[in-house]
Amino acid sequence: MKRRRLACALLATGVLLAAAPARSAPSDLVTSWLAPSDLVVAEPQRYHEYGAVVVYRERRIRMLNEWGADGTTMILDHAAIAILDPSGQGHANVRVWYRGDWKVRDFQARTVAGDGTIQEVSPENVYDEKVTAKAGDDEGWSIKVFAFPRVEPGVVLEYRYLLVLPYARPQYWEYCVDDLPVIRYDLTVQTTPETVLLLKIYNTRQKIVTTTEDGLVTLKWTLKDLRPPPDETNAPAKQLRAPWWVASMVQFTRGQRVIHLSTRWEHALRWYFKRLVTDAGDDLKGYKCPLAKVDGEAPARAVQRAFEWVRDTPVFQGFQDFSDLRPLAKTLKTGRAGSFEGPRLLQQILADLGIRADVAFLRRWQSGAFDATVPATFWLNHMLVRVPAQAGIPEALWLDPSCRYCAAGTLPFYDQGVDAVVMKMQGGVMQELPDWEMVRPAGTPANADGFRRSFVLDVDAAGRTTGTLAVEMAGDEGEQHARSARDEAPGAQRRRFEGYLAHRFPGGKMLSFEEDLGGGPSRPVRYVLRFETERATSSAPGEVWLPLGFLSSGRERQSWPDQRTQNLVIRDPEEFQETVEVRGPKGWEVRVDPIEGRVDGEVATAECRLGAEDGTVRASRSLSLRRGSWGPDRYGEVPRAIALMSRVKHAAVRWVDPHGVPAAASGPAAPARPARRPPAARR
Amino acid sequence: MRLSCRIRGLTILLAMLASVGARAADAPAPPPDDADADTRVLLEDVTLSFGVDRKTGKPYADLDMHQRIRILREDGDSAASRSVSYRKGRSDVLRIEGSTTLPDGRVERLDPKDVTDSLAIPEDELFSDTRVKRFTLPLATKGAVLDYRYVQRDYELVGAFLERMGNAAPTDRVRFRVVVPQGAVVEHVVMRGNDPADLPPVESDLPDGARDRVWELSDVPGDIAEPFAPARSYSQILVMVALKSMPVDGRTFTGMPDLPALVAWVDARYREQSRPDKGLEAQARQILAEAGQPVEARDKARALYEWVQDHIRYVAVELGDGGWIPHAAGSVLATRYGDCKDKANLLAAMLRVVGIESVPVMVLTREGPVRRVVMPSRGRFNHAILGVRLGDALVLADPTSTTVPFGQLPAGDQDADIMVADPARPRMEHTPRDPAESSRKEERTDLQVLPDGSLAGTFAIRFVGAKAHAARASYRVRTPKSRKDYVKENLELTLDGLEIESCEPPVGTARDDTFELTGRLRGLAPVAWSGGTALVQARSLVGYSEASPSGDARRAAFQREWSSTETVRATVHFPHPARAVSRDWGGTREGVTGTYRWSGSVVDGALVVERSATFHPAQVGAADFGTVIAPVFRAVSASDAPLRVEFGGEVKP
Repeated sequence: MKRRRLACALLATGVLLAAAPARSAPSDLVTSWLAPSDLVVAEPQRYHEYGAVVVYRERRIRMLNEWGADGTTMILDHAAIAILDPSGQGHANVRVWYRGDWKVRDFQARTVAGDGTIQEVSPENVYDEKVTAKAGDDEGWSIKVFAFPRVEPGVVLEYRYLLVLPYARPQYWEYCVDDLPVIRYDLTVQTTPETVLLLKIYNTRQKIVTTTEDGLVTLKWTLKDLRPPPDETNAPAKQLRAPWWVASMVQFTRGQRVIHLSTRWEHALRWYFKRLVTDAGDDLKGYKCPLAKVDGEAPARAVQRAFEWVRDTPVFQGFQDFSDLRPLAKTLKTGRAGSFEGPRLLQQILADLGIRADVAFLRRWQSGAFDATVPATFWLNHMLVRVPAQAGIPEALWLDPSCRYCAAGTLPFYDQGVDAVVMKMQGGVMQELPDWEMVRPAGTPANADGFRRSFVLDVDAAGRTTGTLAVEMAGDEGEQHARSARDEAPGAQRRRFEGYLAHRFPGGKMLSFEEDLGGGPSRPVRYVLRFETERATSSAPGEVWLPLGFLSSGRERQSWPDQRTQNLVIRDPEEFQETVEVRGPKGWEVRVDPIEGRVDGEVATAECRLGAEDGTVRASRSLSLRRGSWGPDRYGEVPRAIALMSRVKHAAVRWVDPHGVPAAASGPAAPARPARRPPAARR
Repeated sequence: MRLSCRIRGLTILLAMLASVGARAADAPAPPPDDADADTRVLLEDVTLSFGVDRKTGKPYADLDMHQRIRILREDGDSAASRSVSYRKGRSDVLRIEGSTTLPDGRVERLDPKDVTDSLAIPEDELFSDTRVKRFTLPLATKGAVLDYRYVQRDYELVGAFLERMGNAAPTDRVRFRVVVPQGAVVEHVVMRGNDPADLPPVESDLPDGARDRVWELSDVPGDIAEPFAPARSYSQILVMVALKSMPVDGRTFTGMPDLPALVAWVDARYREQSRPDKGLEAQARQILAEAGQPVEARDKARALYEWVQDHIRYVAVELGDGGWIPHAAGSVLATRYGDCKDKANLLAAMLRVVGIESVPVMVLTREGPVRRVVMPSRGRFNHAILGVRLGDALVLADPTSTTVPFGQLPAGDQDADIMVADPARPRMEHTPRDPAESSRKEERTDLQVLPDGSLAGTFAIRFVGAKAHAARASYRVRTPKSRKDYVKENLELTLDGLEIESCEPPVGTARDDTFELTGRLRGLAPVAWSGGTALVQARSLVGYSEASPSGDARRAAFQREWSSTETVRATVHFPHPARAVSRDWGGTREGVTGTYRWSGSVVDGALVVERSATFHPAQVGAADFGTVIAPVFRAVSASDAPLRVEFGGEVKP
């Protein structure tokens, strides 16, 4: 993986233990339009492929905590975008999102034509509306929408506005580059001298400059000529590749008191702790444990029972965040649970069954960056339950009920290899802050995707084929397949296989079909079907051909990074194995070009064989993709491995009647080639 | 981009509801055809009634919708998520209630606090005042019965109310009841597809002098999800109801206008919004000056049309009457943006400056099958273009398109019903359709098999006619960076590891009738070798446009919606000259919806694979599918067999 570059500034600029001296309020945050010379794109051809380029982007953030009870946050956004091509005109429609209790001030936008003519966006063409109105929610999101006038290639679109939040927002983060290149990016973060502010910048070496302006501690940072990270299907998350920053208010003083916002993780988790432990009344209102306590039930059995109930009963609503957490009674009433609601419910049920359990928060693997040195909840996008060792449970147990194919104690790939903040669910009467520990979840990894397929085929002298196809799907792939297959109409899988046979074997017709959707993580899904074809795939008098195109598995096209690929991540490990055994017409000569190859790398291993022995053709293909993240030096392994797989798929077997005359071959018949492997290695 | 005007009010709501998935069978097992349904609609009961708001004195229509749905499978839980749209100030949702009855008899009610109210800006608009109320019924598990009801009030009674007598899911019983107030005139039309349907309502008197009209159906089949299956609008009955007049406080309130009145209304609004100002007059004259001061009216019209095409960006803002009335031409000129009616109206204003008259034309565009407009009203059209008077002719012009030449129509406007808003002669017409031969895609690849088993070579994709206009318009909005992907998406050739190495910038002007993309590509050769023979997966080289018949297709019916022609040719050079190809690869199949040809041959030592297809719009019923359509599909399937190429000696790449 590419080395992460980091710039960081931690400012403890005078943590005052006495009252701060009276100071005048800083001047208002304002910005002026850019000068005409700043709007010129010097080398537009460098950015042409994007259709538009951000000439300038300015972000100024003021995190102030001294005025009013809750402080103030001011966010100034100023941008200028040059339109280079008709395809860039999509950037001329702008939507500014803000919350109901925020103010949008000094909103201005204009189009600057190539000849310097300016047309401003008139206020009547700016539309402002509340996006979501929910009963009792006055702070929902609103939106300001406008379109720049007179947009055509050659113009520059410039807009600026100030968002004022009626509270000191403790954290703020932003990517410096989105889908357009940025010629210049200026960041200014300001706060009062009584505040300890942490500014961290990732994936760049650019230095932060610290000054004092207007009586405020000021951190400034400028980046030039930023390119969007390549848009690649198998790339790691953008936070791991593109420059971005986070500003976090660590602590400030009010009077003689030091207010810790995120000095340590107990401060960052304070609101979670309040919601779930010290002030959990609303959360528990109307809740009744859905599982009855069973007298004499072993704790481990109770854990398993509760886990399976939460995993299987409420309909999983996908990954959410903590703010989506609804009261427990609501989760039960609606029968739907998100990735935070399920674990919360499980923890409560375990507590009701007499099992001590804590909750844990983490950043799912490869879903973005996680920097534990910046204690903040915005990193955390997943929730687990951790059952500490206790009577009847000899070792701590991690539970992820959002993983629908996991058993108790099994971890899906995204929970592995990352640290989790465990928040203890006990609190004393006066306790405001939680006890916590940073732990790497341990458990049995969920089974890797496993797909096995075998063909046993007989081809007769007329080219008709009869055969058996057996398919096995294990691990995650099997579990997910079985789950969706159970939801489908009866016979849907059979019809799907019929379609495959009809498409891949001319006149392919199913003779029998067996289906076993498996029994949980340990018993794989299995299909066995027998079939025959009405006619040969390709034949002529005296010869029969069997192309191996039926081996198409979808894997030949997926995960195909091309030569421009910069990064590669395999999130879900995968094992694919396939064997083919074909017997041709009795007494006929088999002709097949042997294939034997292996790609053995850090990311992928593939092995393929094709050959004939004793009149029987045998082929095998295997592909193993390992979980991990790699830079440009490794991406080539996957296309090489898949190209090797494709070689066998593109091969063909030919049988020739030694006593007949091949019809179409007008040249001399090619001699059959022996398999290259020595006989000893054959079996 | 595309289409500005929107079907409004209750019509959009009803259309949306009719398309919402829902299914199920009460106690009896579902019939075999519904075996793959996730849900079954046990009851859909809709009542439309009219009244007068006591405070404002304004008439309104209340639509009371009640549905009961059984969830048959776990996947059916999505039926629990419902939405009702409305437009601020023009309609409202008065009441939403719902509950879920679980298999054990327990009933869970929808909490009113869980109903959200969100802004709903459609993707192709900048802004709109449409909002949507969303709710999810609780505990929607397999076996549960969902029950919900809402009342939507509409204050605009100028359009028709539509009720589709069925759902995407099989429906046990659907009932549509219209309460006609005493003295009111309410018209109705019942259609199946584009034809009148024989489903008369049952009428009865009510105690207060009103009359009931009730349409009712049982056991309505749901959707069949398979390629080329006709839309439900062709199989299910649609009831359209319009309030024409109603007595209100001793006066007569007029509801949906007739065609002349509707045309007069449109004409007046467009005229009002297209009054030229000095800036607009100057701009129109400048455009003509830059075009070399054309003399002929047609040339003047073309110059102005092209300017509007090129300089007015498509941006739709639909507030209040914005769905129907264009913004003032002067303001569209000032901002240089607008939607279809804004662009058409600006063009009308400019034409008037130079002495050319025009009339607004409302279109129900084709986004698939031909749709006929019955009971024309505001809500029945979704697009606005212009009819330009040139002598005795009315030339239809769609300035929303960016690539279609003056005098031609984009594919979506062809074979479509239009309302010509000419107050002197209000009328409905139907636009012509280009023949399949004039809308073509031609693909040529010239490829060399390389020693490492890959292929490399050149490609040329040439679009002609309506296909050229559409392709150029799509290509223009792709960033230069993503244009290689555009080529990949449009190539019929499909290879493992296909990579577009280069793509030349297309030549020609914005409105040429041809559009050509050329460049170089590489990928894995779909070729297997044995001795002096190669097996070529020829269909990978020339593709095919049909969904191949698969085991899960039941082919209840078949519908082709567009006319076009495709010809694809791949030339493959091997390391050694090819001598012959197997004769069993190739053929021709003709059906009522098109012709399909494929062939392979050796020309100058190279393999040449060709495939062509001509498609005509047509619809074929279930009875004819097997004899008329299936042979073409079988031909497509046969071309999946490999093509054998002989070299006359042992060769390998």
